[in-house]
Amino acid sequence: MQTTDYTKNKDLKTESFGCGNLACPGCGETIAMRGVLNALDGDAVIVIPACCGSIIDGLFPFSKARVPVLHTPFATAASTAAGVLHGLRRRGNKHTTVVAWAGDGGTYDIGLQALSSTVERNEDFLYICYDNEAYMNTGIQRSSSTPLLAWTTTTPEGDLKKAPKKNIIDIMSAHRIPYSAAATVAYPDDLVAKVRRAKSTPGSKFVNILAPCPTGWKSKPSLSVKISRLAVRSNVYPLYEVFDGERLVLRDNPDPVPVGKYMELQGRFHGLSEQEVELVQRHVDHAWEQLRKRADEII
Amino acid sequence: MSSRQDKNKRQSLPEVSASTSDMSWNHTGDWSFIAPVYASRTAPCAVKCPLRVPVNDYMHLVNEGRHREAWQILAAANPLPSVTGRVCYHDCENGCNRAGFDETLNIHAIERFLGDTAIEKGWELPVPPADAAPAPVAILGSGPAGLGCAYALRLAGYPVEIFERETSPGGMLMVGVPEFRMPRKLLAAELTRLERIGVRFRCGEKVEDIKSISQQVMGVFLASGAHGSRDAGVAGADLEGVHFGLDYLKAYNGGKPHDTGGRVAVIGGGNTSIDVARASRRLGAEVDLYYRRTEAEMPAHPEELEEARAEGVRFHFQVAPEEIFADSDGNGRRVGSVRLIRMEQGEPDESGRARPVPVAGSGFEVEAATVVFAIGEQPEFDYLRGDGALNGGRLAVDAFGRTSIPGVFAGGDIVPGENSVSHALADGIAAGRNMAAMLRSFGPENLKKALDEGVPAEKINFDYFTKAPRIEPATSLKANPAGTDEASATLADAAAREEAGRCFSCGTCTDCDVCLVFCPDLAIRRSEGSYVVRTEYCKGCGICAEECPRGVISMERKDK
Amino acid sequence: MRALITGNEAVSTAVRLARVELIAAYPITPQTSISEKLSQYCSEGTLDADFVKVESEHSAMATVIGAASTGVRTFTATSSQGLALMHELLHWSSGARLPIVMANVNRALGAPWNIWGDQSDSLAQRDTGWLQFYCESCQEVLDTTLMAFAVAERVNTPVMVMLDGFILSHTAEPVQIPEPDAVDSLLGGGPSPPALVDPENPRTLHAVTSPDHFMEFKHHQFQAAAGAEKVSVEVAEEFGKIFGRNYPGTEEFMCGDAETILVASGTAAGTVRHVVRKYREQGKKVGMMRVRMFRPYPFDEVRRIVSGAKRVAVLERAISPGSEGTMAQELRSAAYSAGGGPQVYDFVAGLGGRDIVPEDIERMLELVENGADKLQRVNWLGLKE
Repeated sequence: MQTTDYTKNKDLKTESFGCGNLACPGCGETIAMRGVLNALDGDAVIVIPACCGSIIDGLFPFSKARVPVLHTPFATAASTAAGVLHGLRRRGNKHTTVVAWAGDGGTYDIGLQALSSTVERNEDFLYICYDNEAYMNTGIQRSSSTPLLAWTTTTPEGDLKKAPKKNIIDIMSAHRIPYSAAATVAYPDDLVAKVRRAKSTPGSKFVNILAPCPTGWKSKPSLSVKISRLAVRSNVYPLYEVFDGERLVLRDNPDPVPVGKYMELQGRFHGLSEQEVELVQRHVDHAWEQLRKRADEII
Repeated sequence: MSSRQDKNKRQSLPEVSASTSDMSWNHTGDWSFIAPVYASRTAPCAVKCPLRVPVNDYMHLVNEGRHREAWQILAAANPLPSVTGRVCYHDCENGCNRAGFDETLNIHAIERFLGDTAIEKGWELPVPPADAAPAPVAILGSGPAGLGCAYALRLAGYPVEIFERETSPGGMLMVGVPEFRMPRKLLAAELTRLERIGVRFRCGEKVEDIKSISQQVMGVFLASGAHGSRDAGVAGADLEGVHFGLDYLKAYNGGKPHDTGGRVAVIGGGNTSIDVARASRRLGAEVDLYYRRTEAEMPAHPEELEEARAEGVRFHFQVAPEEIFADSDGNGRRVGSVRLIRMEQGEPDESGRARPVPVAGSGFEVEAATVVFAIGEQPEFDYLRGDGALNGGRLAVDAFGRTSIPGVFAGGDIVPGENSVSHALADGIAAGRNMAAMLRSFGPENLKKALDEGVPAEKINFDYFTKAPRIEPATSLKANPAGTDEASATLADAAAREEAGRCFSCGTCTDCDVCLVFCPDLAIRRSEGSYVVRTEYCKGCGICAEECPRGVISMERKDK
Repeated sequence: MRALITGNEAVSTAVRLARVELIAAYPITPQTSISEKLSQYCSEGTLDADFVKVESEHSAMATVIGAASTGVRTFTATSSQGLALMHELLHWSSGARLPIVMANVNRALGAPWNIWGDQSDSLAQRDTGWLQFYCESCQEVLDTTLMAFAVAERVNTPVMVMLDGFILSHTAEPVQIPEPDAVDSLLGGGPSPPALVDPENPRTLHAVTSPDHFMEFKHHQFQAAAGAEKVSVEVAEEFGKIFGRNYPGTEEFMCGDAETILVASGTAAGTVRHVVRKYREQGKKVGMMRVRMFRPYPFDEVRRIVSGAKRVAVLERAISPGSEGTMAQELRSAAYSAGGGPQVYDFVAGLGGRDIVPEDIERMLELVENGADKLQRVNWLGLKE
C-alpha cells in the first residue's frame, strides 16, 4: 500500500475537522470523517442522525466541525439531507455537497426506509454510513450490520449473532443509483478517491465506510487501522464500487489472509471454536467468489 | 463545562440551539497517560555493519539518483567504499529486515556502485580543518585499520603519518587480495583520495622499535596486521614448491608468481586459501583445496567459495595432509605428491567446533607440484620489544582501542576479534575518533554512546511495502575464468537506484504522513519537515505507533 | 376573485399564494388532494417549488426540517395516522424553531380503521410545541393558512392548520381568492426564515445539550409559543386591514349575557351556532364560543368570555381515555384559574365522522340546564343504545 498524499501541504488549521472531539481513543469514525471532509475540501453540510457522531462532534455550545452540521432524529438522515439539499440549491448554492453521515444502525436499520426513498428519487447527495457494526453509542447492541457470530450486549455469550451482516451495497445498487461503494479507514487514498468520485457524480451516492470501534469490538485502540486493513486482506470486507447499479469494480486481493487473523484481534469474536471460525471463513469465501463472478472489472 | 463558563454563557444563549464555538478547549489529551514519541532508530543493517554505516540514510538518495549526496554519507563513515563494496562480507545484509519479507537488500552492490562512481567522477572527501596539532599521530601499517584511523584523525584535523614497510600502501589489501577481486587502480584511487586530505604515507619504512618514533608523535596507532605464517607441522614442508598462503599471494599480486608446476594443492579453509586457489587457477594450474573440517565449518565466505568452484577449483573436505613427498622424476627437491588422510568429527574443541580426528587407515596420496599452506596468519609485533599486554596471542586493547602502553592504540588483525577488512577499518576509525577526542581532552565516558539493537523486523509494518526481487549485478564470470579480469560486475545506475528503493529505511522517519493521516484526534501536525505531537489532544490510542511503517514511533508516558 | 373550492383546494391555493419553496408530503386520505393539487401547481409552473415526494410522513417532516433549516419557506400536509407518525419530528421541528406550516385534515385514529373526521389526531399533538388553528369554513382555511406563514415566521415556531376531514376537506364552498400582491404584502414584509444551515457561516445545530443549557432553550421555545398569541392577533388585524376578513383567536357568538355557553371548534361550530340562534329566538340566554386558536391557548380571552356564564358545555370531537376531553381540560383550567367560574360539562360527539346534528346540541343543552344531576364527568352524545 502506498501512503496517501491527500493531506500534504495542508495546514491543520485548514482542515474542516478540529481538535478536541469526544470519540473514544482509536475511533474509526473520526478517521473516516476527517478523510471525507478533506476529500470534499471542506465544502459540505453534514446531516447527522442519532449515532456516535452526535456525541463525538461535541456538546452545545461547542463543535469540532468547521462545516455546517445539522443534528437530526435517528431515522431521518437521508430525508433531512434531501431537505437541506433542496433548500441550499433553491438559495443558489450549487456546489456544496450535502452529506448524510450515519452509523450502521441509522442506515441498515431505522433509517433504511428514508434512505431507500431518497436514493430512489436519486437526490443529489452523498450518504456515508460509517459502519461500526452495532449500536455503539447506546452501548454495543446488535444491528443488522453486526457480523455473523459476533458478540454484542444483545447477542451475548450463548446467543451470538446468528444472521450474517446485511449487504447494504447490494441494497443500494439495487436502487440503480449512480454510485455506491465500500471503503474503509485503512485505505485513505481509496477512501478519498471514492468520495471525490462521489462528489463529481450527480445524483445519489452511497459510501459505506467500515470504521472499527475499539470499544464495541473489544480491540486495542492502536489496532483500529490494522483491523480495518485485515478486514480487506481477509475478504471479510471487500473494497468495491458499483456504478449505476450495474458495473461492479472490485479491488482484488490475490493473497488473502485467513479470517481468523482478522477475528483474533477482536474480543467480540473471542471464544469461537475452530468450527465456528471455519463457518465464517466459508461465508466469506462464498461472498468473495460471488463478488468476483459479478465483477466487471477487477483492479 | 465549568459552572463559571455556564454562567457566562447563560446571558447570551441563542434562541436556536446553534453551536458556534469549537471544541479546541477540550483537551482530550487529559484522557490518557501515553502519547506517541518520535525517535529515529538505528536500522539493523547499520547495527550489523562494523562501521555502522547508516545505510538507510543514503539508499533513498541513490533511489532518487542523488548519488553524490549518497556517497558523501557513505564516505563519512567509510573512506573506502569501492574496496569494501568488493571485499567486505556485508554482514549488513544479514540484518536486513527485508529477509523476513522477500529478499535482503543488495547493500554491498550499491556500496560498490557508489564507490566506483565516486572514483569515476573524481568526488573528493571533505577538506579537513587546519591541522590542530604541531605533531602528527604515527600509524604503523597502511592496511584498512591504519587507513581508518588516519581518516578519522584527519577529519578531526590531526596530522597523521603512516609507516608502511612495503613499497606501496594498502597493507593486506595490496599484498593479500588478488587483483581479480580488488582492482589495484581502484584501491589506488581511494588511497590517493586519502592522500589528498592529508594522509601521509611513509612507504618502505619499517619501524624496528616503537620507541624510536613514539617520542616525536602525539600518539601511536598499531595496525601492522597479521602477516606471519603458522608452522605447517608436516614433514616435507621444506621442499621446493611448498609455500605459505600469504607469501604465495604476495608474489602473485606483486606480478612475480611462483611456478605452480601445473598442479596445486591448497591446504586450509580461510579466505586466503580461496584466494590462493583462484590465483592458481589463473596461473593455469589444476587446483585442489583440502580442508580438514566440513564445508559448513569453512571460515571462507560462501560467496567466494562459490566463485572459486565456478572457476574450477576442486574442494575436498575433511581431509588433512600427513606428509609431502618429493617428485621422484625430478631432482628430488621439488614437491611431487602429498599424502592425505580423511578426517571425521570428534569431540568439541575449545572453540565449540567438533575437533577433526583422523580416520585410521584412510590415508591416500595425490599428485601435486605445489603445496600452499593457507592455514592462518598471526600478528607479529617485534617492534614492541616485549611491551604490551597480550590476549590470546594478540595485543590486548580496551573498549577505546588502547593498549597497555600509554598513548599507544591498536586495531585490526593484531588485536582480538574478527579479522575482516571492515572490522579492521572500523577498529581504525573508532580508535582514530577516540584518539582525536582524547586529544581534545574529552572524557572517554562521552564516547560511550551505545548502539541499540536496531529496529526489529516486527516493528516494520510490511503492509506499507511492495514486494520486489533483490537485484544482482550481471555476472562476468563467463568472460575468461583464467584471466585477471574482475570476477564480478558493478550494478548499473538504474539497477542501483531500483535496488536502493527497496530499502525500508528502518527507524528513519521519511515524512510519509501515515501518522498524520490516521490520527483520529488531529494530535499530530507537521512542523518543519517533521512532526510534532500535540499531547494536549492525544488520547494515546497508539494508532500512529502501530501503523508507522518504519518503527520510528513508540508510545511513552507523557510525564517522561 | 370568488371560486367554488373545497377545503383542501383552499389549502393548496394558500400555499401557492404564499410562494412556498419546498413541499414534502405523503399521501393519506383525506389529505391527499392537497398534495395532488400542489403537484399540479408545481408541474404547470404556477408554483415555483420543489415538491419532494417522500415515502412517509416521518420523512416528509424530516425533509421540511432540512429545508427550513436553510431558510426556505416550507409546507407539508397530513392526517391522522400520518400525523401520529410525525410525532417525533413535531417535537424536533418546534425545538429547532423552524417556521414550518402544515395542514392537518382532521381524521380519526385507528384501531379500528376509520378515514372520517374527528380531532383526536391533532389534539394528541398539543404538547409538541406546534401552534394550532382550527377552521370552520373553506374561506377560513385559506385565510388561516396564509396567516400561519406570517405567524410562524415571526415567532420561529411551526404552525398547524386544521380542517375537518371530508366535512371541510371535500366540501366545496364559495371562497374569495386573494390577489397575489395582497398576499405578498402580508407575507413579504415579515422577517424571512433564518438560514440556520449556511455554508458561509458554519454552525452546528441541535447538538447534545447538557442539563446546564437545555432548560434555557425550552424556556425560549415556551416564551415564543406564549408570545404567539399576541403575534397571531396582530397578524389577524393586518390580515383584516388588507382583506377585510377578521379572525379573532376565539370567536364569541351571543356570549355577552349568556347563562349557558356552548363550546365548539371546527365545523361543528356551524351546527352549534344554528341551535344557539334558534334558542335565542325562544328567548333563552345561550351563547357559543368557538376555539380557533388552540395553541397557544388564549387563557385570558377564554376566561373573559366564560366568566359571566353559569354553565359551560364543551362539545368534544375527540377523547382522552382515562380522563376528560382535552378541550374541557383546557377550558376548565382557563375558567377556574381566577377562582369561581361557571360549571363546566364535557360532551363527546361525532367521533370517526359521525354527524353532529342539531338534536345532539339540543340534547346537550337540555341536559346541562335541566338534567345536570344526571351528568357524568364525560357524556357521550349520539351513542347507539
